[in-house]
Amino acid sequence: MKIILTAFFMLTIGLSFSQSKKEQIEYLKFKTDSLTNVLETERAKNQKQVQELNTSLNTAENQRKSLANTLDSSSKVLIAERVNFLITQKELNLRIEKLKNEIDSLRTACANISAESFKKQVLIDNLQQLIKGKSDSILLLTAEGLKLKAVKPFVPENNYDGLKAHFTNREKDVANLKTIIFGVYRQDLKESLKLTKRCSDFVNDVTEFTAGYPGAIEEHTFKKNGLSIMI
Amino acid sequence: MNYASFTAFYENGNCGWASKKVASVEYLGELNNGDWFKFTIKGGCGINDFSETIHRVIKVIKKDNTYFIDYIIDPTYKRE
Repeated sequence: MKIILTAFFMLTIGLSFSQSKKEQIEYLKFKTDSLTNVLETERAKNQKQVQELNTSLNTAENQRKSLANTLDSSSKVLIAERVNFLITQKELNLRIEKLKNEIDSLRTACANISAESFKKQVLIDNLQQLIKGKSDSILLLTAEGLKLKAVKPFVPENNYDGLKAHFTNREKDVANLKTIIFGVYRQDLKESLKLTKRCSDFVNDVTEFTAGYPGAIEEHTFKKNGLSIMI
Repeated sequence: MNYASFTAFYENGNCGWASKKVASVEYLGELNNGDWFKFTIKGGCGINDFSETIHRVIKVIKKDNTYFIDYIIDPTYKRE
C-alpha cells in the first residue's frame, strides 16, 4: 500500500511535474521567441548602424582621398614655388652682387672724378690767378693807353684842311646836340648855347664887337681877323 | 651867345641879313676834346633872299652838363 501510495504520490507528483515542465517549455519557448525577436531587432538595428557607419566611412575615405589629392597638388605647387623662389633668390643674389660691383666701380670712379676735379680746380685757380694778373696788366695797359690818348698832341684848330685828317668817331649819335644847336639858332629854346671865354674873346675880336650892338662884319674881315687872331 | 645873335658873325657884308636859314648841319667828328659841326647857312640882305651861302665849322664842348661853342672857323678860307 505504501508502495502504491508512494507510487500514487509519485505518479501525482510526476503528473504535476510533467504539467509544470510543459508550462515551463511553453514559457521558455515564448521567451525564446521574444529573444529571437529582440535579437533580430537588434541585429537589424546594428546592421543599419553598420550601413550608416560604412557610408560615413566611405564619405570620410573620399574626403581623405580628396584631401590627399589636394595635399599632393599643393605640395607640387609648393615645390614648384620653392624651386622658383630659389631660382629667383639666386638671380637676385647675382644681381645684388652685380650691383655691389657696380657701386664699387662708381665709388672708384667718383673718387677718381673728385681727384680729377680737385686737380682741375687747382688748375682753374691757377688760371684765374693768371687771368687776374693779365687783367691787371690789361688795366695798366689801358690806363697807359688812356694816358697816351689824353696827352696826344693838340691839333691846331685854325686850319680846316689840317683838321679834316684828324676827326674821329664820325658815326657818333649827335642828334640831341644838333637839336640843341638848331633850337638856339632859331631862338626857340630857352637854354642857350654859350660861348667859352676863348670863343667869346675871339668873336669880340674878329667882329670888333661893342657890347649891346648886334655886330655884323664882312665875310672877308671875319676870315682875315679870325684867322689872324686865332693862330 | 650872351653878346650877339647866334648868326651875327655868320652874316655876310655890312647890310645885315634880313633872311637867313641853316641849310644843313654836318657832324664832322671828335677832335681836341670836342664835337665838330659844319654849318651851311643861306641868307641875304632882302626878305626871302637866300642868294648868299657861307660855311662855318664850329667846335662844341660839354662842360658840367652844359654845351659851349669853343671855336669857329671858315672852312673855305685858304691861307695866302
